[in-house]
Amino acid sequence: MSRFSDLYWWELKKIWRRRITKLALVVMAFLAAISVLGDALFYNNSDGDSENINGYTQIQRRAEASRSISGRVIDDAMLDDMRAAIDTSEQAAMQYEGLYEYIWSLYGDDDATYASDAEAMYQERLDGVHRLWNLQSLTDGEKAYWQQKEAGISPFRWQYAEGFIQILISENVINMLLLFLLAICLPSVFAEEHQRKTDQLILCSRFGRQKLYGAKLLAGVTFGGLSAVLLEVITCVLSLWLYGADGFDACMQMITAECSWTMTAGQAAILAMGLVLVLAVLYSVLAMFLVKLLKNSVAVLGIMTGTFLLCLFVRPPYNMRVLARLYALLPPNLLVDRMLTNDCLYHVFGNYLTSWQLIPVVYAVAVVVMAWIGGRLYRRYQVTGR
Amino acid sequence: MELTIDRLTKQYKNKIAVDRVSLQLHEGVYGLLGANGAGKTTLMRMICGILKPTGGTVALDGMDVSTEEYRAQLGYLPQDFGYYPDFTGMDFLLYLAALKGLTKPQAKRRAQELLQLVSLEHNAKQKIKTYSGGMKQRLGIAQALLNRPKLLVLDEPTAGLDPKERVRFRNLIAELGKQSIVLLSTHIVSDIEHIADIVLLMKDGQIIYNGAWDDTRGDLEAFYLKEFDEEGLE
Amino acid sequence: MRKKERQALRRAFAAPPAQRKAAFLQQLPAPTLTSRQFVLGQTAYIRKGTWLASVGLFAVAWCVAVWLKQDVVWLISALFPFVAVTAVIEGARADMHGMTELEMAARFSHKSVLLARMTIVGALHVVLLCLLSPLCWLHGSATMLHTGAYLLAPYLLTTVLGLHTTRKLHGKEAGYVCLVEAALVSVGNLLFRVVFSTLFLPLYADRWLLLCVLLAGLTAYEYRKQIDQTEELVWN
Repeated sequence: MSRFSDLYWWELKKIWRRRITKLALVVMAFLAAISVLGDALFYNNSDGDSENINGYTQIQRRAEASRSISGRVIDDAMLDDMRAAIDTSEQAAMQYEGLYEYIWSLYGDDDATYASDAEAMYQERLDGVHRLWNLQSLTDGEKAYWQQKEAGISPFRWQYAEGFIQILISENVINMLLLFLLAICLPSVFAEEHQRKTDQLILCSRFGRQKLYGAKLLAGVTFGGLSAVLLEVITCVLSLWLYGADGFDACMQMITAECSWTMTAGQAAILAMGLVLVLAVLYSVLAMFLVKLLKNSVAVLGIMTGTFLLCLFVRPPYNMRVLARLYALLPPNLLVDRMLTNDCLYHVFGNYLTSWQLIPVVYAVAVVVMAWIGGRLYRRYQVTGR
Repeated sequence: MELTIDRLTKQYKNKIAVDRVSLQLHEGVYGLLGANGAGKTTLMRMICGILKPTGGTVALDGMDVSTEEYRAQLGYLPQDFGYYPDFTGMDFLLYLAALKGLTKPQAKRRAQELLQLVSLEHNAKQKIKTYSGGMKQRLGIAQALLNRPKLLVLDEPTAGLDPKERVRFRNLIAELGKQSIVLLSTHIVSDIEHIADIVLLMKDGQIIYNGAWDDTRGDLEAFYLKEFDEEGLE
Repeated sequence: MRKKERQALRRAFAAPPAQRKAAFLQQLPAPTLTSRQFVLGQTAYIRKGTWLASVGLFAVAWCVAVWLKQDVVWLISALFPFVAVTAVIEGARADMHGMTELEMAARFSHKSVLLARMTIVGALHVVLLCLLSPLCWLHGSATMLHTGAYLLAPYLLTTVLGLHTTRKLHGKEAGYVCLVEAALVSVGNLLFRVVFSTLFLPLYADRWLLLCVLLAGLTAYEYRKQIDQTEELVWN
């Protein structure tokens, strides 16, 4: 066992010692921080504020204003108060700015937003949800599943939860950064041995074929996991510092109005963070598996980044049910904001599962399969052609 | 024909790799012998114009080393060279022929001729990555001869060649030395003994011996070992 | 003369072997390659991947802008760094594959090869930019000039970083690091568009042009340094 741990520590050191690893990690950490601090660093005074204030101050003002109405049920009384505040002054209206934007996201129209009452608002939301279900070509069984979830969701309690919303957004950014980081840093775990011609020495040694493969794999996964934790710590700390830790119990509908999930913002944020760790393991094993298969680190970088860019800009229509559902399981799509309103379900052994429920199982199976195939490729490798 | 090397020096920070070397070389084969780190490769690179000297000049029949005319007369085989991965042996020679200024028909003719000379005519269409070490070395020798050089600089040319190939190579060099200046460096003393008209012994950046070597002077290897203060193997 | 007679003549008369053939041939003035022929000849030695990357990018832009009728500027600006890196790697190929010494000692030296290839690939990318700008402008909100700036900035940034890297690092690792830099510029570009979306408003469009001018200056500086480096083998 100690031999294995020695090998493991050596492999971890080899990953860390490369200059490109440190450079990529620093750049990704910087980008992760920037993704949270963007609004604070660069404030666009498009609202025509009379005083010249910076982004941070503006965020704090808006947070304070939103907190003052936090905890109230969104009902006719609250909407009346909102209209009264808008009619009174800009200062007073700032308290209800978040609520106004929230209702505007349902109607898409200023007049309808202003004039809405609570019943109309909830109905508008429900109509939007049903439109989504039709757009996503849900079956009757799927609709029945979501209708059961919908029962008892409303009325909503308005809560300021910007911190956790920001964490959720950041998890998607971390997903992207992690993919690039691990595609850059991990192929070398196996590729370097061939490039530096040390494979001849290693493969003929006692532990070179079996134990070393396990040590390399575990070192790569450790690096991936620790990188994910680092990026998550950076974004969480900055999000909660900048926007506050309020709203753990805020309903998901505060994040996205047409979401039908029955969990809180805090729970969703924790779940997303857990999924990022799952993604870290998947990307780590995938990068190392691809390099064993293709024997080319450049190809691995190309495939992983190309897949990411493809997912960013290409999407199959929902009426292609199987393709759309498979597409939703691709790692780059896992944490995008549209996933919160993606009500497509997977029928597994008589149960309906969302993508977030199915994915840990699917990815775990994928990791095991890739690790096993990669191991076979590694053990069977022949040094030829030199 | 004369290659004039005048007080050639290469200094890097606190190390003098080549120390005021002056030589006049004419047609014939010159064997450059020296220990690792003596400055042989540095000297050869400066003669080929790929390393800028700290001081001194190199000229071939009045043409300075930095001119295109000089390089047009030069053939060089480095100690360690690479190749573009998807090139076949023929592609490699045609590419270098283009760099040496040969037209396409000339290049093709000359490449075929040289591949036959180095016994690679049956491997011409194979990718270089499939070649053995000796085959790559022979290909390297072939490319050095593409432009029928007046000055041929060969750095460890027999490394990787088997004994039969080495004998063929010696005969080739001896033939070339009749019309060109051939400067070759090696660790293999027997190569120098068999081919070189003039022996240049290099130590710590300086030429410590410059002249012909024959049996009356004794064993070259023993002399070499004595100069470099090594114990000979019994 | 009929074929049979020709064959009979051939059998009857054996031409004597050539004597002093090589010496005779060497006397004849041999035509040499002109500089123009050399530069054009280098076109054949530019990797297919370099051409394919440019053609591929244009094809993607065409498909998305003309057929799917969608705004394509952000996709193209995310992919352009990878096209830029093909140019950088083309210039560093000799170093990556250990061919530098051989090329430096040839009549058309390594410097000539580099200049020839950079000219060809540079011209290709200028044409590509000219073709992409109108396609990206088609469904975008910026002017064509500013659209060009949004495309050019990540391209130039990748080129500057790549040239600097290939001067400092040698061998195949340099190529890989250049690709990593392209990936980082690409992801940074995407992230900036989301996080600093304000910077892409018309208000700041002229600053993008200024950024392009600055990056172009840095690119020229790095190219100059790289060409200077080709005059001498890097001391080991």
